[in-house]
Parts: sequence; C-alpha cells; structure tokens
Amino acid sequence: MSDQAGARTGAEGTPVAVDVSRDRPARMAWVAFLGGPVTWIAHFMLVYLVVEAGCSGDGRGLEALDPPVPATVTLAATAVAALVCLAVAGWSYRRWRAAIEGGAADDATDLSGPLPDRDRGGTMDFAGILLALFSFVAVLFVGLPAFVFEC
Amino acid sequence: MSAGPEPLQGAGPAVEEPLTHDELNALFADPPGLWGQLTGVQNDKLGTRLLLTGFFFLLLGGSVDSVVMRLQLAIAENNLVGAETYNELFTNHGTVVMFLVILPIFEGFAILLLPLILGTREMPFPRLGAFSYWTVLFGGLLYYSSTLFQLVPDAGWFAYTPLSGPVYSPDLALDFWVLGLGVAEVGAIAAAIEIIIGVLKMRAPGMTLSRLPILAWALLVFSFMIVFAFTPLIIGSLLLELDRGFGTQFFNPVQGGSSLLWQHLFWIFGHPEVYIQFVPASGVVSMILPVLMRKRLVGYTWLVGALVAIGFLSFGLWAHHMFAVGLPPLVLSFFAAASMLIAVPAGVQFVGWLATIWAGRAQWKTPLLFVVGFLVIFVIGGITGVMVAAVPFDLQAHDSYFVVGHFHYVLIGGVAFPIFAGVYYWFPKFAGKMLDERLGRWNFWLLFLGVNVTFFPMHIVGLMGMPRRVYTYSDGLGWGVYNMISTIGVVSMIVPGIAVFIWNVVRSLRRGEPAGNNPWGGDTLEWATTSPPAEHGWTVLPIVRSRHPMWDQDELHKGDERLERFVRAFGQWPLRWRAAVIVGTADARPQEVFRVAHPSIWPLVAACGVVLIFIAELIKLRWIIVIAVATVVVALIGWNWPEEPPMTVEEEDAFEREHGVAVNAGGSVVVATWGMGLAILFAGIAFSALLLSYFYLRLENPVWPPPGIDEPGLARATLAAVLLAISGPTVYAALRRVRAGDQIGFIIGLVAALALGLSAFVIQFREVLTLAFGATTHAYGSIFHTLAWFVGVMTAGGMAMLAMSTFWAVRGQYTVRRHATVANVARFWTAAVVVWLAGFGTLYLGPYLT
Repeated sequence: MSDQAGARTGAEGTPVAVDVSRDRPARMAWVAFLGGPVTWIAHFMLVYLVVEAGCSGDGRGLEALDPPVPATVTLAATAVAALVCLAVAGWSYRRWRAAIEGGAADDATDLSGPLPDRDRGGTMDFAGILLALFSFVAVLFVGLPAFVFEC
Repeated sequence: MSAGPEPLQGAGPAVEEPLTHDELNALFADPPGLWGQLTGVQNDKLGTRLLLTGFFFLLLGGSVDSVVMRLQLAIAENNLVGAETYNELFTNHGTVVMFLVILPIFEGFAILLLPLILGTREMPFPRLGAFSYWTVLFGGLLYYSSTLFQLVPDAGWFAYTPLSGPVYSPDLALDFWVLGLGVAEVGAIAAAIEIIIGVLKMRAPGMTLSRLPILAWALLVFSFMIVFAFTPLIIGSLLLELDRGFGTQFFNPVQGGSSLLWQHLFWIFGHPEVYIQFVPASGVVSMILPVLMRKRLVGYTWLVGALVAIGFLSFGLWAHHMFAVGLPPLVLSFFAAASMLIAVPAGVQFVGWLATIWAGRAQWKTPLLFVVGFLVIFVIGGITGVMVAAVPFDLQAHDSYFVVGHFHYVLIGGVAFPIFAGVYYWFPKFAGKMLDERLGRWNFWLLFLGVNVTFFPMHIVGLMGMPRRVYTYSDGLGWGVYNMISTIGVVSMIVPGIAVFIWNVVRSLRRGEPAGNNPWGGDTLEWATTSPPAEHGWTVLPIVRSRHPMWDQDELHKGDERLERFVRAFGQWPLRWRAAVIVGTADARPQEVFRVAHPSIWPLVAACGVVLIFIAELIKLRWIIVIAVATVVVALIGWNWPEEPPMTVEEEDAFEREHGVAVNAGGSVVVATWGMGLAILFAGIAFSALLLSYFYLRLENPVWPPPGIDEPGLARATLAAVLLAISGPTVYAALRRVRAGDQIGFIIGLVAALALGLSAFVIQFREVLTLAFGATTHAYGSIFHTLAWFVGVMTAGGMAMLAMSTFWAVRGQYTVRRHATVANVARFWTAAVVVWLAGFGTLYLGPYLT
C-alpha cells in the first residue's frame, strides 16, 4: 500500500503507479534467489552448444572450434560459472543475514501484527544460498569431464 | 504457536461472511443453463472440467489400451492383436497419458484450488482459463477422432522421424497426432500463463513468498516448465507438419535435414515433461503430509529450493534419451552428469518428507496411505533412474523392459498416487462430502499391490533382454512367467482398484458423510471456507500472518490496522463489478484493485477457430485456414473489446485516497503487463527453438548454403532492418506523448511507427517471395523461409496491435490515466523488433560468417 494515498496514480499515470518493474527490492530478491540455477543453465547450454559445434560440425568458420577448443572453452566457462555461483551464494548469504537481523523485502513486517512468525524474513535469500551452492557443485560436475575428454 | 490442531474436525479460525456474501456470490457465478456452460469462466467450474476431462482420457487411453497390451503379452506368441494394432496401442497409451491425462489434471487442480489456497477471488484471466479448457478438450477429441477413420497413429508417443515423416507414414494418422496434440499444447501453455500470474500476483494480503503454500510454489515451477518445454515441441511439431504437408526437408538427411533435430526438439520437451508431472505431484504430497502427520513440513525452504532446482536441471537432461545415437563423449558426459545431479534435489525432498513423518503422528487416512505409497514406489523408480543415467548401463538397458518398469514406477508412484491422494484430500472441500474411508483403503491397497506386481517383473524381464514395443515374443526365452505376472497384476488389482475409486466417488457424491469446513484440520486457507465454497471464494479477504494461517492465527482478518480497513472495505465494495486484488510479488502488499473478466462466448469461439486451423491442415483444405484465422482474430477482438469502466476516475481516486490501493475498474494494468511479458517470453522461446534449429542444421551441413544457392544479398534486408529499428523508439515516443497529455503527438507517433513497420515488412518480404530457392529445395531453404515467416507473423501481429491502438487512440480511448494497453503494445513491438533483427541477422549474415 502506498504511503501517500492516491499520490502515485495521479502523479505518474496508471501504468507507472503499479508497475512492478519499478519494485527494485523484489527484483533483487528474485535475482539472488535464481542467480545460481540461471548460471547453471547458461553454463550448460553454452558448453553443450560449443562442444556440439566443435565436435560434430564441419565447414567454413567452424575450424575455429576444432579440438581442443571445445574442452578448453568448457573448462574456462566452468571456472567462470563456478565463481559466479559462489559470488551469488555470498551475496545471498549477506542478504539473508541482513534479513534475519533487520527485516527484508519478503518480510512484510508491518502487515504481520503482533503474531510471532518464525518463518519471517530471509526465506528467499536462504533458498538462494542453497541453490547457488548446489549450482556451484552442479557446474563443476558437468564441466570437469572436459579434463578427460577432448571431444 | 501451536503445533497444529489435535482434532480432525472443525479446527481453525472462522472466516467472516458479511451481508454482501450473496451479492458477490451471484456476481461471480456463471449464467445458468447451456449458455452458462458455453460462456462460463468461473474457476471451480473450469478446474473441475479439466480434472474430469483428464480422468476421462485416463480411462480411455491410459487404462483400456494398457489392459489390451498386457493381455496380448501375457503368453508367448499370442495373437489377440496383431503388430499393427499393438503399435497403435502403445502409441496411444503413451501419447494420451503424457499429453491428455496428467497435464489437464494438474492444471485442473491449479485452477480449482489456487484461488482458495491463495486467498483470492478468481484466477487472473478467467477467459484464458476457459480458452485453455476448450482447446485441451478439442485437441484431445481431434486426436482421438483418428480412431473413427481407422487412422490411429502408430509411431510411438515420441513420433521419431523418419518413421513419422511423409515417406514411412504417408497417410493422415501422424497428422492427427501432430495437429490434435498441437491444439492441446496451446491450451496447456494458456493455462500455464494463467497459473504463473495467479501465483505471483493474486494472493491474500500478507502472503509473502515465505508464506506461500508449497503447492503454489510447485505449480509456479510447473507452469514455467510448461512454457519452456511445450514451446519447443510446438516448433518441432510445426516443422514435422511442414515436412509432412508442405514438402520441406527439415528431417530428410538426403536434402540436408536431420532426424536427430526432431529428437532434440522432442526431448527438450519430453524429459522436462516427466518433471512437469512430478513437480506438482510433490507439491500435493507436501501439502497433505504435514496435515495428516500433525507436524509442520520440515525444511520448507529446502523443499522450495529443491522444486526450483528440479525445474532448471530437468532442462539439462533431454539428451539422455539419445545416449545411443552417437553423440560426442563430452556431450554424453554433460547429460549423464545432469541426469545424476537431479537426484540431489529429489533426495532433499525425500529427506524433508521423511523427517516430517519421523517427527509427526500419523493420522492413517486414505490420502496419507497414498502419500506413503508414493514414497515407497517413487524411490524405487528414482533409483532405477539414476541407474539408467549412467551411460554404460543405459547402453545395455536402452529400449528394454527395464526402462518400461522404471518409468512406470516413476509416473505411477510419483504422479498417479499423489493425484489419488489429492482427490481424497480435497474432494470434501468441493463436493461437501467425504469419500468413503473403507473403499479408499481398498482403492489404495489394490493399486499399491497391483503396481508392484505389474511393474516390478518388468525390470527382471528387461535385464533378461526383452525389448520394449514388441507385440509378442518367442516361447522358450524365459520371459513368459514374468509377463504373465504383470498381466495378472493389471487385470486382478489395478483395474479393480480404479473401479473401486470410481465407485467411491459416485457413491460419496450421493451418500457421503458431510465434510464440514475443515475435515482434516488443515493449515492452509482453503479450509477456512465453506464446503463447497462460494463462487467468489472470499467475501472478506484473509490477512495472512503465517505459513500455516489455520493453525497459527486466531483470526483471519486481523493485521495491520490500515490493511484491516482495506479488506473490510473491499468486502463491501464494489458490488457492481467483479473486483479482485493484485499484490506485490514478494511482499504481498495490495497494489491494485481490478475487474476480472466476466463470462463470455469469445474464448469458445477462439478455441473453435484454433482447432479449425488445425483441422483445415489435417484434411488439406487449406483455404479454410483463412476463415479459421479470421474467426480467431474476430474472437480476440471481441474478447478484448474495451468496455465502459463501471466506475469513474473520480470514484477510483476516492478509494485510492482512502485506502492507498490503486483501482483500475477498466481492467488490470499489472495483470495485463505480466500477461504481455509471458506472451513475449513464449514468442522468444519459440524463436530460440527455431534459431537453434537453424544452427543445428548448419552443423549437419558442411556446405552452407548448399551448392547452387548463393549467399543472400544484404542491401534490402539492411534497409528493412534500419526502418524497423527506428520504429521501436518511435512507439515509445508516442507513449511519452500520451503520458504528457498530447493526443495529437501520440497519434502521429503511432502512425509513424506503423508506417515504418509496414515499409520494412513490404521491403523484406518482397525479397523473400522472390528468392531463387524455395522452402522445399533443401533444409537450408526450409529453415530460411520458416524462420523468415515466423518473424513476419510476429511482426504482423505487432502491426495489428499498433493499428488497433491507433484506431482506439483516434476514438479517444486512451488518456493520461488509462493507456496501459499502449504500453503493452510498445513492449510487444520492441520484442518484435529484436526478433526481426536477430532472425534476419542470422539468415543474412550466417552464411557469410560460417
């Protein structure tokens, strides 16, 4: 609910008044929550497409992807993606600590009233930590066979 | 906080029902009689219809086919049915269960349950829900109508090319498969969009994402998976039908096509499809278990994470169905790794469920029996799944009965048992009667024993070497006894088990024990309402302050003082139109009061138009497509025809000033924006699938374009791209003018954008139509023309929107306050411009670069 009743719609027009795209805390909560698995799927698709192109494809322009490029790209992408997953995990951890100490975007403290709610705050961030750490392991698990196979 | 109520009956706080209850009930009800059935959009009705339609197809395709197949295989060298009929049976069985049974059932669960569970009055797009139902029904019937013409598809539920192509399946049987299911797939995606927005935007105030019932999380993941998985299948089906009906060469290796392209497009849908079915089933389990164990779900956050992880990982598994086709070893290792990894989040879910059981106190009611049966059977299917994820083992077990045993344990244990649990659990809420417990136990034990007796021997006979999809086998191979046991399991246990279930439903509807509001002592909001619930579900919206509101809250309408005032005012006002509330995605604060759509015939007309397009292609009377497309266009215009807002801007402002929540009586801004966002996502995924098809075909062809075809000229394409690129910012300039109150500038901007778009379209497609190569020449020509026309259709759609916006702008429809439609058109047009630049960029620059 708006703190300034009626102000936003009148000032900015209807599409803006309730446009969630301007809800930055909510967007950040989603980024922290999904950052790990999105990194995983991006890494997976990248290494799959590069290896498919380098190992199966032939013809003009594809020589650049001939072995050992697929394995090299896979390992490099794996290293980068693993670091991104760790960074997301660290960021989610800081958000989670902040949430349980001082309230968070998914907290809605002022709506809760006097009822003690042990599920309050930080759920999305804690799930973000779990997902990012799992994605870290998953990225390594997918990418490390490139040490063994060239193609 | 209490640990949950002790008694099974009547627990939890009461819900307030002020005097406006009856008025709202009538406002949200569909019209009576046949007209009401045809125009109805009420979520209980649509959800129940989807459930019943799914069960109808289950009995038709899931049960009858399987019994005949088992009878055929009971003894060696049996001749109950021949090879051809057997092919049709297993094709139909797989197809119906994967497309027409489980999806409608879970989408039915979602549309039926979500408004009550989330504490809202309706789904966001009631008409889209109706459209979804009609398309699923018509698609299923179109597919099944093949039996009337003795043209039953027989190429397996996966329809591998070249078997499903024009050479080896020249009659119309496979067209029924492609086109009938195509209609149903459109319906599935429509419902998924409805569910996504419902979960994210239509919840009770205070129901933050942390307090979201886990079934809602599961249905959210499920719906996103449908959008991402079904769209590539629609593209694959389009390409297959183009090969079959128009002579393109996508899957013809002789002309540069690839059979493996179909397998990729199919399995990038097909494997997530298994998890699309499992994810909502696990959500059902996570709802029932805590209530009947009298214990809060252990590890809620971990289980939410597990659902999301499964959603993502399931899209990295598709090629494990292709381990035997000769993929590079490194690619095999990627998919084997992902296939094993998915056991981790599934294992996390199991730990959460087992811990809940460990800490709880079981109430051995039928839903709990089915949940425990699920745990036992699914874990066996899961472990054999990890076995076949190992490439060396898979190469041995591939296409054997071991795999049949594995996936039936997964799908019956992991999906069917939770469905039965869910029906026993929520039936009382919607029927107002309890299902009979004694019959429920018979139902459970017959199915539990029957599934194990039927499918466990398949693992053994598979390891002994029995291949799947054979209509008979030689005596003396030692397979007979196992097949006989399987048949006995189906005939003597599974069939009676399903019969008991049907009898229980019929009997309980007539003579069941009255249910009361909360027969299980449930913790979630649906148990606060009457059984059956009112048409509008909630008169006074609940204020959620806990993940378990029925266990933790003494009152459902207490909270922040201002919020209390809002929900009480909303219970009294407005009573002239169907009002619902949008909340913030994360914080669940009320954002907007809007009018949900009322009953309409247009969804049915639109569905008829869609199915007519597919029928016209099926019977090769393609001129009918023009009529069908016109029908769809007229229906969409009628569907979205602007209506006079039921209240003035001043009245909207008065409510907003008093309660701080924006009112849009003319229609939601938020819901429309999200709907447009998901429509763009759908188009983007479809475009990506086509783009990947382009690159895959390029990889299969060392010479690209093929000999005899020149690289495309760049001049006209560049000019068209520049014109279109300019049109994008022009629409936003128009948008800024309407926000500034400059109507003339606004209209000029829209017209300019439309003119630029039209010029680009004419320049580009004049060239496409005069190219030296056609769509049937070679796979290069096929993908060139298909991708170009995909971009063209999307751009034409954008131009139609711009033209409609201009028409309404000239009529003064848009104002500083009410112009959300134009903002959405601008978003779509931007997406169309991006798709144009990427699509034609690939087509024109690709041959020069590679």
